[in-house]
Amino acid sequence: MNTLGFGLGLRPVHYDAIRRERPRVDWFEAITENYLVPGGAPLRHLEHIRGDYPVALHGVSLSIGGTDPLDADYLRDVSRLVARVEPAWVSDHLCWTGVAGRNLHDLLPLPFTEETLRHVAGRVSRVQDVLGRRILLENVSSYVEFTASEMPEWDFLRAVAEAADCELLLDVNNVYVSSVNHGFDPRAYLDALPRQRIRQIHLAGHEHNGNHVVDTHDAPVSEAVWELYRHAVRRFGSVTTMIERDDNIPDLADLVAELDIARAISRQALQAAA
Amino acid sequence: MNALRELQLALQEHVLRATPGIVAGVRQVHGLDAPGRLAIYANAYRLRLTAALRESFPALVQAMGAAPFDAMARTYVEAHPPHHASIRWFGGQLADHLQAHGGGVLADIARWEWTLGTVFDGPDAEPVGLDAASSFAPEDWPCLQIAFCPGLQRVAVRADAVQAWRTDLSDAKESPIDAPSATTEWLVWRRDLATTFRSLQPDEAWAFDAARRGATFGELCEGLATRVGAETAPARAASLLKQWLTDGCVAALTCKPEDPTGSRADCQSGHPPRSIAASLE
Repeated sequence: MNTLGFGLGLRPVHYDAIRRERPRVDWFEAITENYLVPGGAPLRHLEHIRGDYPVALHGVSLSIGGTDPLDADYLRDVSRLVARVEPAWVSDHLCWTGVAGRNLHDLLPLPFTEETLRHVAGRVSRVQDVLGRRILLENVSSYVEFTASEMPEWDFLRAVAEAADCELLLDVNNVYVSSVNHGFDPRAYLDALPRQRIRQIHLAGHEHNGNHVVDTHDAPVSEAVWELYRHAVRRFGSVTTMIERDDNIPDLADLVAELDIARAISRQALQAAA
Repeated sequence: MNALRELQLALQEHVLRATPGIVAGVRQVHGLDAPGRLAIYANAYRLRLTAALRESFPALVQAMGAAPFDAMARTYVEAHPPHHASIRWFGGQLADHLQAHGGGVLADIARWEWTLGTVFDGPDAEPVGLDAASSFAPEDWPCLQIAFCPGLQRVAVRADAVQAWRTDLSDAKESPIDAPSATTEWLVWRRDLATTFRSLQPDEAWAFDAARRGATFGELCEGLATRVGAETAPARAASLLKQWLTDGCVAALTCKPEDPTGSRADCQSGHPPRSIAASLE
């Protein structure tokens, strides 16, 4: 599978530096909702940067597992943005964000049941029909598991991808966070996923709070996540990778340097596997 | 889907109102107990929305202080749970929320910041210049209609709220706003990507609103005649149009189509088109 290489999340605080310095970043991932605005600076910056780099769109409001009807207005707006930006791909999260007309602006966990599987797969198909392309779904960090669940998360993720014929955005940090919170082996999670559907990898930082870990995206990638990333590269080969940083955002140069760690680990893991 | 929906409603109710129904549905494993795990979602919900408000209202944070702002934000979060797909729009009712709770100048700071944000990423437009007006024949002038750029906003805000915003966030060397502390009418728009604003005199505020509703240039002259006198009304209308054009607020000038009742002839009555047109040159 062709890869975009090593990218960063596109954050407004870095717009000027990106346009001025043309940093050594292979691609950028833009948060879809940040650009669902009528016009002005956000779209102007995105279009300039799109002129210099590949861009993928990463949404947080699709609520693919929600039980309200799919938001037709939101999908229309995303379709228009896709037509304008021509992203490499479009991704969102395997979660729900609200119900009964509410949006809690969080990536809420699903019960891993056959009912949920059928529900999500049907909605993914409808979204892919509207957008005219396959989408990527990302595994989320979670803090609860439901007694209603009938299968482990990794089986659910694989089954959704196959039933809906979509691709996966594997967030290695989220696997690690959930593995600590729920007590499973994160490598077993990765080993259970279908290699051919992993289109992209996320890396990010988190916060250890004694008996649980919170997915904060406000710190450098931890050593444990780097090690899990190494395992992911051995398992999945060369996959488009990016670092997500949403809070305590450092200078662009610091993130470019952190991306070099990902490059080095990927290179070493691929050489070891060869 | 019934079981899935019931689970989602129960978890959402727990986040919004701490109802306990979902607790029994959460698996008890090592580490945190079920209420502790659910509390992560409830806390994150309020922290995330409060952070979004801080980002949208930085001058209000400065004016109130961080802790009082966060306390106020919590009351807003509880009163106005979000429903938009994008968190960008959470905060649109904050000014009214503050107003309803006796916010005074703080409500106006919030209204001002929200208006600036709305203009910042509002629709793009290609404004026309003075030459758009000169392309019309003098006899067509009374029937001119003005289409303003779509992202432009009119807002009524106390001048001291705008001054507080400027003091908090802008270059302190800028001159104070020369306007009374009473509620003032403002025009806020964008020149390309730069948000800009100015206060409006009462006659301009009236004329702008009338023009935005579709009044012709001739009708503006008639309305202004009752405010500034019949003799000076045409010149005042022309100077306002010139100002709007040079400010980059006008997207198009059109000539109102003649209708069968002959209203076009009526709107030309009483105004000397050539002198009006000449005043824009």
